[in-house]
Amino acid sequence: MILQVIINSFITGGLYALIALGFSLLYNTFKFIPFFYGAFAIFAGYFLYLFNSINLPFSLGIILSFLVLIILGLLIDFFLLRKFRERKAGSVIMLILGLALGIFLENLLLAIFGPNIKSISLPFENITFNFFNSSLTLIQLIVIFISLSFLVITFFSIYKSRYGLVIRSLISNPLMAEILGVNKEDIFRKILIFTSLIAAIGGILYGIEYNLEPTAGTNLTIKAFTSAIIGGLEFLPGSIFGGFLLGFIENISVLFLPSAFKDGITFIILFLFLIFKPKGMFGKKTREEMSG
Amino acid sequence: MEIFNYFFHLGIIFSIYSLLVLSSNLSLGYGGLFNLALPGLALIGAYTSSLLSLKTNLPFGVIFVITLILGYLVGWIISKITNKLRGDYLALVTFGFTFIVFTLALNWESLTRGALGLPSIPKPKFLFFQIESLIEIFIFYYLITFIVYLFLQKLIFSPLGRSIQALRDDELAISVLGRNPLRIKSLVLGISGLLSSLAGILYAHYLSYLDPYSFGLGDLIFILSALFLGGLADNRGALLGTFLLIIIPESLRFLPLPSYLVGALRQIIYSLIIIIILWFRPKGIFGKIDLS
Amino acid sequence: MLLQIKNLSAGYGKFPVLKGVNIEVNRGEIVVLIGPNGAGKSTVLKSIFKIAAIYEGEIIFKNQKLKKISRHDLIRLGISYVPQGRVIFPNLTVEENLLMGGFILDNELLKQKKDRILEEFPHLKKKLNLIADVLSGGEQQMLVLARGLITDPELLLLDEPSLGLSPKIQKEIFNKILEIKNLGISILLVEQNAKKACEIADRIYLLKSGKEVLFGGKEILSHPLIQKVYLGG
Repeated sequence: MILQVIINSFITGGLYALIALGFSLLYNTFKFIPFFYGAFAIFAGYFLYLFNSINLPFSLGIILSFLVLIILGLLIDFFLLRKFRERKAGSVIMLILGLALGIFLENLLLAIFGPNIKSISLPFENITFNFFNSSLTLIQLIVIFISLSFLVITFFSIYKSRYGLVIRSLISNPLMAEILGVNKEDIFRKILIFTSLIAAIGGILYGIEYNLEPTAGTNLTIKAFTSAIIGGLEFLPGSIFGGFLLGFIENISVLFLPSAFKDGITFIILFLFLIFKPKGMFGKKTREEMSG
Repeated sequence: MEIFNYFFHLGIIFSIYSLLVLSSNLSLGYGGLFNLALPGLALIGAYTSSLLSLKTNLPFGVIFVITLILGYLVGWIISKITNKLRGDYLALVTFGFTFIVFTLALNWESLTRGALGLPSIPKPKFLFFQIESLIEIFIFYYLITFIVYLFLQKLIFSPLGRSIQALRDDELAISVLGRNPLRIKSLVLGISGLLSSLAGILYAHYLSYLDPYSFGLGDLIFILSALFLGGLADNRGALLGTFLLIIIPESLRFLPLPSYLVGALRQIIYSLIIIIILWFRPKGIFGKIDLS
Repeated sequence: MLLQIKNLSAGYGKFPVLKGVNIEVNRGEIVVLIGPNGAGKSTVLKSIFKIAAIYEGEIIFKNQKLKKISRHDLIRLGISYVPQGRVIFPNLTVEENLLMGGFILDNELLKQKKDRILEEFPHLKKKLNLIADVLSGGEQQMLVLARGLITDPELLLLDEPSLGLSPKIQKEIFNKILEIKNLGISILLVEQNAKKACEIADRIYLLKSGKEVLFGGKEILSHPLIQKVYLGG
């Protein structure tokens, strides 16, 4: 029983951690809460479904979905985010903007694809591995593998490479970084492309493992956001930790609580953290953060 | 006369949602507090009043007053919890609150019957006055909304109202004026709680049916778009915004569209309005505050 | 003449803060800008580094006009700017802060320069792996000074390095600045603490309301206008 819980924790946790990482990266770079990120990710899932249903080869569909999302991300930045960045809009305005954008994307998906659950058909058989009273499907294994590798690669890039140092300096003190010669807009664009890629991977993996419905977007955003809050919004690796922790708590809670509460747990955790530990488990207190 | 009934219905809906939007204008427009808990507060008010009506023999008048007091208290508690939090964090905690209320309503089935909802909620009855027909409800609700509007206008233009606006503009100024900013915050959030509860009561006892989905994220978007459209910090604008945003999507009903599409289009309109207003005219039609 | 600022009008919005100011820095000297708040001292430095907008006038460095040059190239030309307020990267380690100073350098060169700078700033050597945030105010100021020197600049722009530091630490900072001068680096120094800054100055400019009202070598220190600033500083 416990082994199954652990396995499931890696599946859900890996997915949450992945999306949370993209979420956290966006937040720390652009300095506002990207509430549209979940809906944005699910977009890729739906596009894969679309490409599938017109019988495009599966791998082509995946690559196209990646492209679509990257282009969408760049468009959102170019037409929307950039304007507000130039105006130096306050972070709460951006929060509302992010919220509105998320609702917009989600309802766009609802309008186009309808409320029924869509599943993505796979070009291979989803075999199940059974061992020690637990089971793991091929897809689930792929989810774990891809999310973990991506997380590890990203972590090392950000913390061990010179390019990662530049990104971290831009996050830490954008003005000083620019004075030292860093081209802010250029890096912003690259981070946007990268987080769009993460979103696409996460959205597609989610769609394949859990099937697609339009409300999945908001759901994912809440999970990402909660994971990031658990680990501390300002601390990038924290969101990865938060994602796995959340996945674990969710999966272990089914042993004690009716499964209907699974999603409710997330909200309660979120609420508790926001009130008692808003800087997360690893965050540092800065005076300015708490007073707005 | 079907068409008259329809207009009465719209009018009643307008009066209910005006309360939410006016309440939000008080918090956000005048007080500068990003209180996103309003739908949650409305849901609490709706459920309290409905359950008390269905399960106890208390006269409606008593239930009415109890629920309003409860609304004020919850608002007050929220202000205490978010004491030192401003901006982002206040928005997030209150946002989380709305979701928690939703989750509780959905999962606490022994109390709320969960997704099945509460049917047959009785119409309001004060002393011997049973409000039954559409016209009676229409008049009664309008009376209430009108009284609330007058009250709010009086509040805003009083010295206390100036303190509330000082909360938005400069907390330091309030202390100089000799008032305690935290007290004012509690007052504003308490009143918002009360008004939102009121909206919830009116909603539940009019439609005679209530479920956890009655007040949620969608309403948040509605409230924000109505406020931004009509202009913050101006109650006439708030009412105008509410009016427009109820009327415009209603026209969609007459098209032969499936209901999920109507719902989706409505949300798309609301979210687009928020984005467009923020982009072009951060002041809205009447508003006095430039959001950037 | 290393740096020449000719008739510079600059500012941040509608109204210019600097109204036609003229300043020169020669090789190997420390030039100090003093003056009351709002005189535009910081704006001079900010104009060079494109943080303030230039409305009129010219800035010439090593016979090259700086108007169209990017920040990247400014550093490459040999100017380094240390803004006001201990502008460390708080979440990065001391070592990472230094490395960022050499953003425009390639890896090989960066390592060399970093090691050389650490010889000049031995206190930082022991703290390389600490997060910059935990350093004291004085140590942070030393860090940003060191960071500013990694690219081997010919001209160092310093904005109020002594701000918020105790007199003892201020003394250390000013001594360090003298050391830097002795390495052959020219320095344009903006300071609120006029007295201490003028002690190490080769030449001094007194700025008021966006224009230089008095300038010269140490002999102007007895001028009544300067005395007024001393009393205020």
